[in-house]
Amino acid sequence: MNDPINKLRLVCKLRGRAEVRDEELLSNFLSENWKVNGRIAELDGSTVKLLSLNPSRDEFMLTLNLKKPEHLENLVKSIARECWYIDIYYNFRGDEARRVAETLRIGFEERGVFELRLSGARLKVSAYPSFKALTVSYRVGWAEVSKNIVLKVHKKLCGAPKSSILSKMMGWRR
Amino acid sequence: MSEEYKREHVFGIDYGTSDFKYGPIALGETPEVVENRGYFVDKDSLMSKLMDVRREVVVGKELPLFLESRKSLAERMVYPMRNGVIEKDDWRAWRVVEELTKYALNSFAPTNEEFDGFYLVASISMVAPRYMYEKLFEIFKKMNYEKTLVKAATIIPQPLAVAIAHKIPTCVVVESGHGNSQICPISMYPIRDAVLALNRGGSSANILMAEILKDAGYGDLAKEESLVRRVKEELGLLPRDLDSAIDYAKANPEKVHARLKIPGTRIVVDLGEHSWTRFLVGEYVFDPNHEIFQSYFTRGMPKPSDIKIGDTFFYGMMDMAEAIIESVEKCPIELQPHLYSKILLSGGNFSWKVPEGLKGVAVTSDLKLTSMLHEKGIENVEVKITEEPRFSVWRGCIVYGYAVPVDYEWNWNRMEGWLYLA
Repeated sequence: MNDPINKLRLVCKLRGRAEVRDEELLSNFLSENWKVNGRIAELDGSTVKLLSLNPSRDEFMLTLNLKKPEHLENLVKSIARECWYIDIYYNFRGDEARRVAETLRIGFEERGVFELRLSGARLKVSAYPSFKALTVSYRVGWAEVSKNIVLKVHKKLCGAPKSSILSKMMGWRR
Repeated sequence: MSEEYKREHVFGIDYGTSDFKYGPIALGETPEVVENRGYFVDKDSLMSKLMDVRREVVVGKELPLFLESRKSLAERMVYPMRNGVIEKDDWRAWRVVEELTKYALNSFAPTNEEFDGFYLVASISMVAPRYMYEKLFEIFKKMNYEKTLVKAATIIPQPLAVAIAHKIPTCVVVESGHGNSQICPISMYPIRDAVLALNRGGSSANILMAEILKDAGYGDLAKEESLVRRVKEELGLLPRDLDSAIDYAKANPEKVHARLKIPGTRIVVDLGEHSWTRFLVGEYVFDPNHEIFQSYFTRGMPKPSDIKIGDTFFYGMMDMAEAIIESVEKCPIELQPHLYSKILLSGGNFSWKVPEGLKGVAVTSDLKLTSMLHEKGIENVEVKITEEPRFSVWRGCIVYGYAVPVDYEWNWNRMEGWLYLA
């Protein structure tokens, strides 16, 4: 697994309105092992930041900087019970974008939007090859979260690429 | 149109004085960047006809491919936002803005049928007059003539975008770009009466860097603005205290010796015995009043002058700490301590590096300003450089676009909301 893994963005649609102040939102939702300091929380090097809450206070956006994939699962499980759904966005740039496009078997020659399934999730993939950028997003509710789909998708998207024939022959390992 | 559609299609544009930052929310934390400039091609030339160059203005990453001689560069290259304000009838500047905007939106417009235009959040200088807002909306509307690119648009001042990106409702934002610096106290909204502008930015440091290069024997290179900027970014330093830094440099020449190889060329810049002048470059942005700069002014380097653009007065020689104090003191006394306790520095002009081995002599912008404010008797100061200062305005645009509801329509009195264009 690459380290650090990736920056992600989560948009969480709440079942009701958030009745707490913005600074109290994370401490309300996250499990105790996250160290919360206002809008930022930290767990063993992974950080989550509350980017914005919409004016009707029923949706909020988080950015994540993950060190371990398990932290994503931990985070999503903590929040999912209070949400109708969570949209998870990955932004890949440069070589990472090309690698993920290969993993998902989509062409990375032309700009386009693709829809495909991966580990039970319906992914929407936007490719911007001239900027070497690729966005992958998908929606999960409690049903998907309880089936550990988030971790499976994450590992497929951010896991180390399968070895090529040449790398196997030469014995290269990451 | 649903909130969900908007969330996927927010597009931010920061019309910086030097760089144009743009991209949709899908780009995550980092926008695309091109220089905020356009090149007017000589369409009457035989070569243009032979090569079938049909465009009037070239912008974006391929612009260098169209450049001609250095002389024509000066005549044909237009930097529309040089000081943050475009004159109403400066058609060439507006033409470049239009072309850049179209370039940015077209680059990312999805090809699927669902796409019905972006929710565009544009950010311009705090001192931009109302006609600039009107003109920009006009340009955004024009974008839709060929295909729908802009569903709705809104425009926010750059300092407000910075405050939004950092979710700090009470603060002073100092946004220092290429052409100028804006000091804007914010208490929920920008306090317009207290905004202060300096006629100094990254370009002032470039001018000094060019003089330094001439003195070091690189007069020919000093004419190439992009190269001068590069040398400034790589070699320029910000001293904690200029006099002590110069003393240190003269006592330890090997530690401050500066040499730069320009990749892809044979050019090597070696400042040699002039390496101590690296400290002048940063100091000049923060305080051009040191007597050492007089020698440059005497030799013909233009002194940053006080100018009036639109209704705004831009101070040339006021030091940055003084400017912050003057701006804050225009706000209610009760508010002033809160403003000093959150000063946010944004813009590429605050990205001064501190090389290993020069810590303590060279400093970052936050430490420099803190020490300047302390010297002027301001206590309980907290100065913070925004994360990736070059991109904080663009990030603020994205957060703003996400947060403003689709049914909140543009209001000219409050200057906020979405103006629907498609």
